[in-house]
Amino acid sequence: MMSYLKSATARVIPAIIIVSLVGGCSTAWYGGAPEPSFDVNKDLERLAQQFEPADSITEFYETYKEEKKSESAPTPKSQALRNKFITGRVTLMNIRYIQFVRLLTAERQLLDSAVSMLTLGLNLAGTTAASAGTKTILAAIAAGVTGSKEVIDKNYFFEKTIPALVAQMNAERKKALIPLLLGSKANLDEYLFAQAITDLHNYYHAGTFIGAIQAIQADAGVKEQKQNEVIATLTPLTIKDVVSKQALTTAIGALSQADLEKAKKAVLAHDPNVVPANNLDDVKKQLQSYVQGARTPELIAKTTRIFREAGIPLPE
Amino acid sequence: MADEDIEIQGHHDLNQINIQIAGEEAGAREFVSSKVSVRNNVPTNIVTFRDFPVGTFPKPLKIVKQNDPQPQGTKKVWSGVMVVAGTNTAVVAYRQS
Repeated sequence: MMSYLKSATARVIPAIIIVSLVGGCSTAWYGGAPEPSFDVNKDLERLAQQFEPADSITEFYETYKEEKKSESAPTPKSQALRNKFITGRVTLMNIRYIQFVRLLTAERQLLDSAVSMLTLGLNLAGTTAASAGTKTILAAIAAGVTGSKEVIDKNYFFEKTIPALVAQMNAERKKALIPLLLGSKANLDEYLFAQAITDLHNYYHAGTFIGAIQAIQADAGVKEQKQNEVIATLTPLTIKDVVSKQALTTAIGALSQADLEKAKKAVLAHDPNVVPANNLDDVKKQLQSYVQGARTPELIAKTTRIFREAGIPLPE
Repeated sequence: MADEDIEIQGHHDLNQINIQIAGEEAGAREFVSSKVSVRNNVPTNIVTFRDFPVGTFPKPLKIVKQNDPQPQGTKKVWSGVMVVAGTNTAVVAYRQS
């Protein structure tokens, strides 16, 4: 019996590992996108050769010095070198970013799953090899099943979070690209080489998790602040205040064409800068908005007084 | 029919919350729902009101704790959680029918 279980386990464990590795890889090796029509790694290699970062900076400063010696103002060659440097860096970052996103959206999950499952499998193998009894073997298999579920659960949340972060990174990168595009059109005095480096750093940072999370936090802060500014807070009232406010609304509802001038007078008394509407329905709306805004006992009392002084009859 | 969110602070008791809702409804507004939120680092109630026809106001509304009996002659219009006297409380809103 024991030998049967051991041999069964020996068949089951590799099967778990293989299914985890192969099954996942075939579904989304390119991150849910078609295979690129160009070789990303080769392109990156060629671009890296063309825009060798250290050489670009040195070349720029040497040329800039020479131009400054010989000419007093314009530095067209340096400007062209600055723009070449910007273009090169942006392109390199874009390619790296594509690779990064591709890894994030699918392969990373698959790789993590695969590694976790492999580790599980190895642990299982160790447990089973050392075990002598049926219980140990079964427990090990059960642990494998449970462990697999945990791995899947973790990746489910990863899968749900990453697209949001990638979307935020894309948005932030677009924003960060604007100063670089505008700067490339400016001359060297207006857009310094050092500023270009800073903007390139910002562009890089915009395509990172930290940059995306910071942007989300900042957005949330702004939204919360905006919400705090917009939302009114009610103040304590008494039943008497409520009845008074109801009386004001009822009085508005009872206004007839004959009361138009009284209603206009009440609008003006609330705010001399407002032009009262000419038809009754619109004047009623104006008055109702004042009543709605009367949210404190003082404002309710003030509005009641204005209605009375304007000659608008209030129900008892 | 515009909706507007208005804060009713969570330190008030249920009686005062009901009065404040009645006060808002008295200005031709209708209680729609409430959600617990955090404002200035304090848990609070953000209550949504909807415009009611000018010159009118809805029938009385009463919010009670979930386990309290339904007031006679009312119908349930909303249920959820509100911060009442500083505590998250399950409540039900009934409106006179």
